[in-house]
Amino acid sequence: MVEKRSVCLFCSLGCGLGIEVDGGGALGIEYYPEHPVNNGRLCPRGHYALELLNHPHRLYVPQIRDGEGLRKASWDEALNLLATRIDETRKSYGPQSIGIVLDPNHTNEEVEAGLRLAEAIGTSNFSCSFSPEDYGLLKGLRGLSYSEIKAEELEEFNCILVIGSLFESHPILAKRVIGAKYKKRGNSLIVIDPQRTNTALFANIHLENRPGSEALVLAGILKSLIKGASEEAVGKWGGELKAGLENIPDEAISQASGIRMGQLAEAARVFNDSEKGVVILSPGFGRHRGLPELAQLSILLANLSKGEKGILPLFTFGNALGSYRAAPNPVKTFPQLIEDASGGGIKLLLLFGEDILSAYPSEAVQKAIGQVEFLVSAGLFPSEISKFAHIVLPSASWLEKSGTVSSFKGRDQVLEPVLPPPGIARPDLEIMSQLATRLGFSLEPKAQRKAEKGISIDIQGLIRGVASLPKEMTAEEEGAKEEYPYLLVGEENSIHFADGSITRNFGWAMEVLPSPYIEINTRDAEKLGLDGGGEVLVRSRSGESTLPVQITDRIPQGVLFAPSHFPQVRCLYGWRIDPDLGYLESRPERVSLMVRD
Amino acid sequence: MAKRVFVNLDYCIGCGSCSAACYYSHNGFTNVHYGSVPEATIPFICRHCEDPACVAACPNGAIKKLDNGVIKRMNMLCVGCGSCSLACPFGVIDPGIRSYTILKCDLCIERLADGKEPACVTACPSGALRFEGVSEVSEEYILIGGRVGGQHPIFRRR
Ligand code: SF4
Repeated sequence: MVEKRSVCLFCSLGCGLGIEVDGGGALGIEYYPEHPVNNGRLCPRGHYALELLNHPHRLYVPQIRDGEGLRKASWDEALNLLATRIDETRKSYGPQSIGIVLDPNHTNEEVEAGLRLAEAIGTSNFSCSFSPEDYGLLKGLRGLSYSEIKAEELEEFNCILVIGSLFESHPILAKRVIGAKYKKRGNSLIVIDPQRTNTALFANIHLENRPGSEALVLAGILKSLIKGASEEAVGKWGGELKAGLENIPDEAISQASGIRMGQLAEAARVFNDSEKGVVILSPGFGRHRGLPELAQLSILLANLSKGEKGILPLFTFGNALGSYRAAPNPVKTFPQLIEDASGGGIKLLLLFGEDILSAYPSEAVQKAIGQVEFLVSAGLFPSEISKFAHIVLPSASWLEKSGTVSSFKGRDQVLEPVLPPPGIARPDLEIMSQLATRLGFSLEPKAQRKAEKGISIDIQGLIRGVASLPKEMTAEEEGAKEEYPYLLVGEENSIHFADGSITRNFGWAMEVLPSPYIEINTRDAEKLGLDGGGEVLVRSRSGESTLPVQITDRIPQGVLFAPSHFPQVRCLYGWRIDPDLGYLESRPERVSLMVRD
Repeated sequence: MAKRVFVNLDYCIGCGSCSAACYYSHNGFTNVHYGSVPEATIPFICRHCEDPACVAACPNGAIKKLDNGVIKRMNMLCVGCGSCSLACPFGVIDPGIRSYTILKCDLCIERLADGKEPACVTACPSGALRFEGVSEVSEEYILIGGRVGGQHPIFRRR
């Protein structure tokens, strides 16, 4: 029996883990105490590595559509068919009618290979299917220089400001964050989140903002920080930023965020006075709004306050940062590509990884899938999308391939295969290079990608973005309040990953949380006549679903929370592309409730 | 002195890692259940009592106290009557009967033999679970909120 080391990619922390391997199978999880990020600790998702390696439902052989069903095929047959279809499509519709989408849980090498494959085919339709909150954050941070705090150093910090539900989405940091808070008298934990999460319960300052107003809260904190600071301390952004922030009235901030200016000033003082401080950004699907602004405001907050300050951005997908860097400036982002497809612009679509039908159950995606003439999906498990695919290819998981992933800025982790993939499944890199060979070119690695540097924050754009937040909210709320009186916020947990289409295959996850629920405040429940449970019909502008109710005091009135790891919840969020961002909007959604009996 | 798993509720964040760790080290059955009372999300783990009620209740002698203090269910002797499950004052024995599998916490005997801590303790992301000698455990573990003096999350969960 040997122990092999690998990395977990179920979130961007990239915890290290060990797998006991004997012969051809994985026998058990071993912990990896020397790994700097997690010191051997693992959250539930980390443990799924074992089941992922052994799962009986993994795809293990290529399949080709045969009438209604799929039949098994050899790699040669599947790839030759695909190559022929690519050639035909290229001839009859032009190269731009071919699209390639990879999810951000691929290695850096695979994303680069995908980009080169697209270039060789002659199409610019290549993109990564980032989660909307990840994309917003990455876009905000792009090209900026900021000091990123190492996860393993967190315990030395005196003040930690958390945006989002950290212990729910990245539980491994809990020991360090709690440890830092109780290490010394006077250390503090500030949490900006509308829900009284387990993270917030540890906070000494909990800013219970209205959902979606996090960027405004941060702007308020920054505003009161600058007010007190001297000219020189304010530094190079000072004047412009100060003037810009002063244009956003205090009342607008406190009205839209639901937090008094005094509280924000207190938070600013605590953060500024601490010796070492960090802003941890842990956004979630359907939970936060204005993510690029949020990212830039955190950098400004870290730069403008005294002492040693930095930020720590965290993402949903394991290699979000690496994927974004490997393929910067896509001509079309993932949602734009899907829009293009639903307009009939894409005839052949290659999907690697994520099941986009379960992640974005919307008309736009369904229409796009309907318009595509030839659909290829490569993945780990049979999924919604494989019901429509003409070719289904079995991929290797990250535990079964080699490559690098960038968990944090400037730190790459190397993946080594723990076991060979099941059956004749192959790593996506190999699939792509074999396909390229059949098309008559090779995917030789090109020269190093150039890093983007030296961009500074566009203060005016930032202020414009922040200032538009309250207005947009109230205008929209006025219109929608009557019909959709509640605000639905996405909630993360440590049980499922992203849209849950992978984790719903795992035993423990299905024992603990097999189906979604919706949380409602006690008073709201009383008003609706719900006592102790029952089901409600939740309706938004884009969809509806029936969910069982959980009554709780940990959320404010007028707000509902539901785990965003289920299509039944995700279908309530509309497919809306933010023109400035060029990506799907991340925001809480307005919904209405009807009690089912 | 025999070591036991202790929960410091001060630090529990309700992530479920202990339960998952147990599940994946015991053939897909977990002995650590966690549930919510209005005040907190807390794990339920076998205490490996000094004077165990389950051992006394078993009509067939299928639960034994080993030399190292671990209370272990001998699967071959178990007749599946469920008496132990009813007798346990902490309600931590799963009444389900599945042959030849460990359904009661065995403190990860194999891991202990290798000089490691039980899986749930190693996995715990927040440091709430600790594996310590009974006499070494200071009052902080026994008095809820002792460590954080009045600041305890439980008091603020309402
Ligand atoms: S999901 Fe994240 S926190 Fe959990 S084990 Fe994997 S990398 Fe670590």
